[in-house]
Amino acid sequence: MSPPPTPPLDLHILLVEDDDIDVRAMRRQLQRSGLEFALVVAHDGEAALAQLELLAPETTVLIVDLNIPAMDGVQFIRHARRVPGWTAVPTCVLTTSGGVADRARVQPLQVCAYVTKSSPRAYPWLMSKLRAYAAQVA
Amino acid sequence: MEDKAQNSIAPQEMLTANMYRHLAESCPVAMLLVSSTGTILYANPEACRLFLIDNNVLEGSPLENLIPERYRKGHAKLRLHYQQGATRRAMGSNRALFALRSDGVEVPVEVGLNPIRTEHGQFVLSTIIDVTERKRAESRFQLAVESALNAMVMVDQAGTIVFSNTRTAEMFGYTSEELNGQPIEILVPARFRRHHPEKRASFSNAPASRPMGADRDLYAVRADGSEMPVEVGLNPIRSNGAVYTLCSIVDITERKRNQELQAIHSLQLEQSNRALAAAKADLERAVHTLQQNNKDLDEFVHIASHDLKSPLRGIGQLAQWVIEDEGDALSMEGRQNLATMQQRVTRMGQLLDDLLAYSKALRVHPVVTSVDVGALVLDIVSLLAPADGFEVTVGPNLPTIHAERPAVEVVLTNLIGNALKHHDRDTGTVHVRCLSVDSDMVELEVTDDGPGILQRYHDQIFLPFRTLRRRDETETTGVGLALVKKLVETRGGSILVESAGRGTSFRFTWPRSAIVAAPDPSA
Repeated sequence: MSPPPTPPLDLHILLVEDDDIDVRAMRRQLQRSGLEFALVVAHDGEAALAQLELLAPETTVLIVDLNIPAMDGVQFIRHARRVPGWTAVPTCVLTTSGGVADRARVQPLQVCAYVTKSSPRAYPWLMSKLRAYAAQVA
Repeated sequence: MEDKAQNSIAPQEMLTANMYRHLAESCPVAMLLVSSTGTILYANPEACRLFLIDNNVLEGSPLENLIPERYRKGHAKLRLHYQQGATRRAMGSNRALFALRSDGVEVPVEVGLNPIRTEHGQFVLSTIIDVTERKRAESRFQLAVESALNAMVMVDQAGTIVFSNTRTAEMFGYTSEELNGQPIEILVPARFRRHHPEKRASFSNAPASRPMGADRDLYAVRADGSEMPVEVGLNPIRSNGAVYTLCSIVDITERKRNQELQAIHSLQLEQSNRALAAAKADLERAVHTLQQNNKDLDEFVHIASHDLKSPLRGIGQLAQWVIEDEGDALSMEGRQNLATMQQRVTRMGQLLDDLLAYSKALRVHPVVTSVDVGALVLDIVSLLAPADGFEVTVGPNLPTIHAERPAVEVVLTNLIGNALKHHDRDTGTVHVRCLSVDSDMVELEVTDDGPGILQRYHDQIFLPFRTLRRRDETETTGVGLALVKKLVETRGGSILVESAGRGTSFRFTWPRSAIVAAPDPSA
């Protein structure tokens, strides 16, 4: 899936996710929520770091799946935080398990949301977080 | 001249009867002159001292008065016999002689006999020596030798056994009589016999107390031809101008056997040590394999929980979207099939979660903290969020224990959760309380007022992946109670269920203070 053409909107979500169904799930949730975010998808950490060059940090939210190939989600977030301008970008984390070990690895990164994909409340809660962020930026 | 004259006189001529008398009286040996009829004609002072009789009583009395009663008859006969072929000789050379003192005491004696023939007839001059002291010394020696624990053999210079103690007889299977007079070589095994006399001779040349055969193993041979290992000590003894050798012989069969046993034991010990070392190596390999297996299991569980769940969740989502997007276009049956598919997806996800939890339960969580059971129950209840009409009550004195919080949490969550989930009415109460606290364990109880569990299922409910209701009826995997039991038992506690009619009680014990093994390095 290639990144969409230049978005007409100011707000972007950079979704780092390798599972196409999860990408589609996110897109459906965004469409349904009425939030006006342009979704940019990177299938791995390298591609995501390349996207950082093209996006404006002050109007972007990162949503990162921990379980991505090569560089994992935690490593990507650490890299992203060292890129000039991106040190304080709002970041949400997606996991499959909600396991204790993953949670412990994520904790020092001070993310604004930690979402377990299989949880029924996961997406509504994530959407409310994004809505709050959009209001803050606007 | 006079000297010459005196020298020329024969000594016999110089001796007057008076001088003979003086000679006899100053002699330190008792002397009796006895007539051919056995009458004492003369007794010197030493004889009077020996027999404790005045010489005027002694002289003229029969000789047999000085002989112990039991020998008297025989003695008279022997005396007559002696007179017929009288020679100068020692009396009783082959037996012990006794003289009877006037006080009735018998005294061991040695007697010398000298026939004297005169024109007045035949006389016998006997010299009598009191050998009490010598006999006493001899008997002391014999007693000492006799009571020795070792075989003691005395041999003369020719190598003839002159004396042996009872222990010798026992040890070699001969009687003392059989041994006495035999060459010592009778006790030496045939193969050593030839050189033994040479060795004996070399000892006689430089007699000194020493162990024999210090540098080699010695063997002795018994009467039955069997051999035994021995230790021999040699002691030269001088007696009456002759040199004897007193040999002390110790049977060292036992000692040898002990040495051999000891050698065998140390060999066995060495073998055991080797076996132990091998077993230890095996064990270490097994532990390593086990740790590897645990790691593999962890990896498997990780795959099960993550990699299997992702596609499963995808399937569930796709089914959801078909219902959402195309639901109106589907037949009723098509929609139902999709709903069932979602149900199964949910159950499989739950199974994967339970599988993960079950395998994790087998591993002891290394972090032990203080756990307030009452507070923990309240946390669990708020997470479980019981439906309206259901209540979880907590007993007054739930303890604080030192435990792995996650394990206790899983147990209580399952028990309370089950009670709520399987309740068959609109309202119900679950009660959690502490039954007892002793030095080691606490006993907790979770009681509900639900439908109860039939006695015949009480064992089954703890088996993994076993449920009592159709799976389609309740979304349950059957892992919960198996997991609870595993957790309780791996931590050293026990669990039982009680249910008669309505209501069910689960009682379980848990250590008050967890003993935590060293953290698994592979964990």
